[in-house]
Amino acid sequence: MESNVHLTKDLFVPIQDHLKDVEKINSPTVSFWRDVWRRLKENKLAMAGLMVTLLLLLLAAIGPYLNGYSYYEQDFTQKNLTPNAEHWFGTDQAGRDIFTRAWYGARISLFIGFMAAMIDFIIGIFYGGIAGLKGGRADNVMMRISEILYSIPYLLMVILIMIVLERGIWPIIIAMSITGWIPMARLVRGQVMQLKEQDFVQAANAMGSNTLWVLRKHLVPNTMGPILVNVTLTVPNAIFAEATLSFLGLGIPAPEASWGTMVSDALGSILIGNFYQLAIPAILISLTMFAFNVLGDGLRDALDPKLRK
Amino acid sequence: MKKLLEIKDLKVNFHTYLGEVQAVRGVSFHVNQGEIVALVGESGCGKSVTAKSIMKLLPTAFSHYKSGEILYHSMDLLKVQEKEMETIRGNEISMIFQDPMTSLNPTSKIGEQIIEGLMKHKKVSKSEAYRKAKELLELVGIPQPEKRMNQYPHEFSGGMRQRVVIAMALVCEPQLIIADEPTTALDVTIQAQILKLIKDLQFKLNTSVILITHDLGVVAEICDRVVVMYAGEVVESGKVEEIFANPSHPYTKGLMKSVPRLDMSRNESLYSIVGSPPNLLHPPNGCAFYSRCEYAMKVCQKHSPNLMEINTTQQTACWLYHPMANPVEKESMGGM
Amino acid sequence: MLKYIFKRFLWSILTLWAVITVTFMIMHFIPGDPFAREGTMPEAVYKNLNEHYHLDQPLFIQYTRYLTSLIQFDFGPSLKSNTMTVNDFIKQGFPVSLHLGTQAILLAVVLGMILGVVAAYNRNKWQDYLSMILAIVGISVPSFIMATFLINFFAVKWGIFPVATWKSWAHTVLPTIALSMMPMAFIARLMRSSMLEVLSQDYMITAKAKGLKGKFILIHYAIKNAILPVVTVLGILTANLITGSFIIESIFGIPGIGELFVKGIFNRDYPVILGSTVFYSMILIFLIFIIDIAYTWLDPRIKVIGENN
Repeated sequence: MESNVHLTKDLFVPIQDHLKDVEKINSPTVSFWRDVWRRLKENKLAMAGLMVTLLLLLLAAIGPYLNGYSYYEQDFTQKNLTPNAEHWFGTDQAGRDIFTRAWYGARISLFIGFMAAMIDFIIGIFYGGIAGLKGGRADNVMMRISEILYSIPYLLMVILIMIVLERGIWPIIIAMSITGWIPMARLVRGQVMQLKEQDFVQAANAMGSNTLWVLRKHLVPNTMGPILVNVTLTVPNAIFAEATLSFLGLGIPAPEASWGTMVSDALGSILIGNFYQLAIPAILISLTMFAFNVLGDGLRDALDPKLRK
Repeated sequence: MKKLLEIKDLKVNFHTYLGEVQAVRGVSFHVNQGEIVALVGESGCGKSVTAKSIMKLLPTAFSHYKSGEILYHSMDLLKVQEKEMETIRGNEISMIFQDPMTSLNPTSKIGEQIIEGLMKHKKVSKSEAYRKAKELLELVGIPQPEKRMNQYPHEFSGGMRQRVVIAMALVCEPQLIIADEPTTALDVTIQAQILKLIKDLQFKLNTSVILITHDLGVVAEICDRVVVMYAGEVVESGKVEEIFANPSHPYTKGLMKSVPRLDMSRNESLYSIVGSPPNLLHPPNGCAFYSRCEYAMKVCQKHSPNLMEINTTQQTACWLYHPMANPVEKESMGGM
Repeated sequence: MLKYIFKRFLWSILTLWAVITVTFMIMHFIPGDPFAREGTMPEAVYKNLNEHYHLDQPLFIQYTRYLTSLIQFDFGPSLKSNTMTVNDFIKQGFPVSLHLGTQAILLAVVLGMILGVVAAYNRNKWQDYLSMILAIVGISVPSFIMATFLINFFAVKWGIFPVATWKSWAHTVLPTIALSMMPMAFIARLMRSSMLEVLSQDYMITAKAKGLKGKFILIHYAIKNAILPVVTVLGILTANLITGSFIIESIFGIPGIGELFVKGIFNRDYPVILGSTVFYSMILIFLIFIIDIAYTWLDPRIKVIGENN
């Protein structure tokens, strides 16, 4: 409030028509996903995660062809070499080029990660969606079944199934999917149940919109957020599980390479001082899990602005 | 009457990722000993921020006091160290919050929550504190206080919880109680009981009360004076009778007119003030109410008005009461 | 309350039964005869073994016999050892695994909670960033990779701790750290978000408005409420720890149940696999039961629901 302003009589003249535009909303409406993307871009850690993910995908695609070695060729005259101009990441105890193997392993690990996430997603959406929409007894029975299955530790279950199945990429994916879908199903069910009760969905129902339309228009966009986050976080879990299986000798059989088998093969190398043989796949596993974890976290924050404040 | 609390030109800003929000923009008012002052205004007008400033409860991470003084017994609370502030909070000034469902610790027993402040401030023994808590629960009208003290908040109804919150605020016999919309979250029937309780206790204990509300009915019922806030500023203040009989600021008039009355005819529609309050991220240069005011003048767009005295007790911040304003304008307003 | 405990107990028994059944079935889906590998085995010995495991009986009889022996805590003989039964193995290994597991979970809970509280109380300051970087590294680096790095630096390179085996307390340090990193990181993140949620609650302002001391508010208001979600995930974390211990115990050569399990996998010793899985499930389900009861005791709001049911 200013006290020493110069006032003149002509300022004290009434104005008439300034109330007309007052009810106009003048901030532009931004679409939900664009807003999410804007917030995600602000999160440096999440963007770093996204960059690393893209880089890993790129190298998984082209890495195995870059230096002319194959992932399976053994050359015992060239074994246990430290990183050099010929073998960028060195060679392992069988004389295989670690650089090529590492990116070949990236393909397998990422493929398993994405496939597991996708299968969990599909089963989870159906199971959880049906339980949530049906409600009542069907929901009760379905959730009890999933609860019992869920009480077996995930990795233990995967290991047990892998003991039965043959070794290979698809058996691993199947083993992971047998109980892997449960968290997703529970999440979807929770979301659906919650949304069913929400005012805007009830309002849409009351106004006579048909169920499918309500689903498409309100349920899907509103449940998508947490589900997307969950999918993002399933990928590193699957990669971790694959690495553990390979480590236990239940993973990808030789000569194929996954990061887990590479770590497992190199375990003895620590004692003879060839730590890089283990460090390279170990760092790649950790980096991938890091990238997906921070990306998932960033997505969760971007999708739920309430959490940011 | 002695002034217990006086706020002078208080300015509070919030840092947000969009920029500085000027939540309180030069608020001044005072509270005398033993009176109930109402702080009235729509949500977001800065009344809660003002109240929390008195107890310095605003989050330090993203708020700061830009200027002003909050004089309590002529001691500036804004200059008081946090350590000393702890001895004032709950002890000399206490607060009743809006939502009794969320303002109690869900994992502690009611009794414990009442006595913990007492034990900290008055250094009494636990059994003494419990005795006092029991008395207070009786005073605020909670039956079977001994049994109730061993229960958890979720075992109480909303109205009962608010009684507990009031008992908690009274436990150290404070000189000033700030009640931040104490009845908004309650059923209408409970609201009247709680207000009557506050009024009775205020009378009995001769404490001062700042009652924050947007409900003018509440104001008329129990308050002595009214301070009307709009967009972070005080636009009008005065005794309850004056404000109700003769509202001077166009905003206050609008508020009065938007209260439904029993004598309204059936086809008379309820008055509402057009538009919405200005964005306090970029407050206007002129009067904050300009864009919604039916009596706006050129000066209102350019310059922000100061509080002007209408009489010794009533003040208003409106150019219409400036000596240069055309008396006709004022007349037409009076008769609206 | 008693009724709730009883109900919860019945549910635990049911879950345990389901786990045993599922595991039993998986083991019996193994293609071919588990004993067929021993081609050199004399016919008579093979026949004896077969009779001992009742493998010549129909599946259902085998199953009921297995269940009855389990009720008497008899996990049967091992396939590969003539002198020791699965019970002997478990008796030998359990104290070791219990020691390691307890140490790891204690470290994880204490350190995780401290990190979470410090991060939340200093939101967006360096303490927060440091704790959360530690936590994100913790969830990104699988325990077996953590183990190999710890061995390489702390044992092989710097010689601070012994490389492997299980003799003195110094031997327990590296495996405990390796095993606790992931749950620690998980608890730290959960505790942080739970603390932030609690810190934004109205009752925190009430506490401050009462003039209570900062330390008192931290303990009686913030931590007391924020700890509840952490208690609920302790079950999952224990499961995580158990599966983690398989690999950690094998890497460090620790004679616990985890190593027994992994050896069982390599040797295809099915009674050992089945026995240790069932034993782990018993422990886990028992722990979850205890945690559930503890939760109702910690959160006064739950009791009412339990009693009304």
